[in-house]
Amino acid sequence: MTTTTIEPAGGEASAAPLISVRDLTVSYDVARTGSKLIAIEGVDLDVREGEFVTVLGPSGCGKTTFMNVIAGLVKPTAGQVLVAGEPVTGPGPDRAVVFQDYALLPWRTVFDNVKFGLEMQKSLRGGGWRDRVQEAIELVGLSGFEHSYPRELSGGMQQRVGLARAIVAQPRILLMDEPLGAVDALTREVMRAEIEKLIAATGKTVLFITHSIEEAILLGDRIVVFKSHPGAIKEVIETGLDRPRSERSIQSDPRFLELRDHLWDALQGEAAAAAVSK
Amino acid sequence: MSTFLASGPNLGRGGIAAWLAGLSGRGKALVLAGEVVVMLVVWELVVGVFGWINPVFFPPPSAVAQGFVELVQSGALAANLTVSIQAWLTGFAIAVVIGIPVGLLMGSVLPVDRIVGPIAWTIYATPTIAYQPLAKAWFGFGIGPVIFLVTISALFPILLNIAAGMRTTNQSIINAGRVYGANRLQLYRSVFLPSTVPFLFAGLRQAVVLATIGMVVAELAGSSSGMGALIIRAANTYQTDQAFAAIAVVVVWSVGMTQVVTLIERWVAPWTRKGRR
Repeated sequence: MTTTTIEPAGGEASAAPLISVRDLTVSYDVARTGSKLIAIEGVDLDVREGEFVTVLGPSGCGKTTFMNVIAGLVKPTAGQVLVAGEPVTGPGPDRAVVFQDYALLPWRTVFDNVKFGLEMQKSLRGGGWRDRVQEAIELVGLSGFEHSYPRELSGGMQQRVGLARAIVAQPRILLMDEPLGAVDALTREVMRAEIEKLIAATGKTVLFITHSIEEAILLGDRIVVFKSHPGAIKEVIETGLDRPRSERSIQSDPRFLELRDHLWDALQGEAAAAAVSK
Repeated sequence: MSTFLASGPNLGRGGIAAWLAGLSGRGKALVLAGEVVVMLVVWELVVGVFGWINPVFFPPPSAVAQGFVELVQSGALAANLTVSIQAWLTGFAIAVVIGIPVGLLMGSVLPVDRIVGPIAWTIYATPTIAYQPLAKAWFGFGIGPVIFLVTISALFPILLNIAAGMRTTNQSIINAGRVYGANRLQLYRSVFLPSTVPFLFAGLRQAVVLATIGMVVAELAGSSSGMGALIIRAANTYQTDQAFAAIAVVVVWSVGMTQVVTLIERWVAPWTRKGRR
């Protein structure tokens, strides 16, 4: 792993990181061939409280596996993940996930989907939860759709439900796995801005996986670039861009352009390597 | 002609296909009713009016209607239908009571699936009619063999569909459950069971049709009562109009019960209602 950091480095000393990934390796047994498939190898990363980190990489680079380990859905083969100093042994209420394919329960209405997290965590005692669910639905702009079923909503609206479900559980860390990957381009731009605003308001720590260079720059305080075969961190870059970032003004920002060119070169090399190794 | 060959399923761009696709529920019902009326008229003309086919072998609709009236008036229909429905409902209930829990068990416990699965598929793959003589030997000549054949016909579509439904639960949704802290019981109740419901109803619909076949097959030989017995008795005495009328009643039962299952599904699982087609 090479960690090249282009300006500015932003190296002020801060408190202990909220998420700490140490020499993380995940490999799977491939039953058909009896060999091992290494999904990610030797990943180290620290994430500070309140930081918005985007994880950028080509498909198949193990970035989803990386997030799943932090979520507690996948066990590390070697190394470990610490959240607030405690090793992750499974999912916990301090972490919530927004899934690429929304992962809504088709048999539940919007309201009941948003309350799902609270229900599983047995936090439905007292009357306050109704207001919290309603608040989260309003926050993502779905007022009036409380009684709709997911199949009656567009992709973008379904992902808003996924977002509300994550927020209402009040996690410290929001893990977002290409949340806008299956949403159409126009909706994606609108929702990207909304997510930025929402996160700024709640001050949550976010790990946001994407394969869009623009998305990684527009949202991230830091960008973690993954390479594939095996999946590992190629570099970590501080974006150093001011917030809030209006999409229009930033497109002409020289820092934005510099980052975009740099990431474009980095990813192009990766994509070519991936194509050759297939 | 080449455009004809090139067009795939429902790729017609306009014309009749577009017209059919755009119909309302009422419009669709009218089209279906029109189709039925045309078929009945042609049938009536070919057999009843022109006499191109011997009506003894293929009675026209008017004769079938008359046969139906005869069956009603003589009380034969009520008597035999009661026996059949009793056997059908009993057999179907047994199939549901066994099929749902065993299917759930197969879907959630791999060893059970590996042990019960091959046996279930083997029995399911055997033509129902092959069990018919055995059923008589095991259960005598009353309602017993009919219930047995209904049960064995209805059981496996229910059981195998439920097992498949459990196994194919969306991994993402399971992950969502785990992320939000669901324990095993909660996962089962809130994720696996509801996601299996559409499969249950698909299985029930298949089971209705197969159970009706099983019922008639069981009653065709050696039974003194039931719709199957009524059909074979009428046919053997060349009262084909009555035989056709009895067959029509069986079809109405089968289609009707499928509709009942669909109605229950809409009530129990409103989220499965598919888009218009």
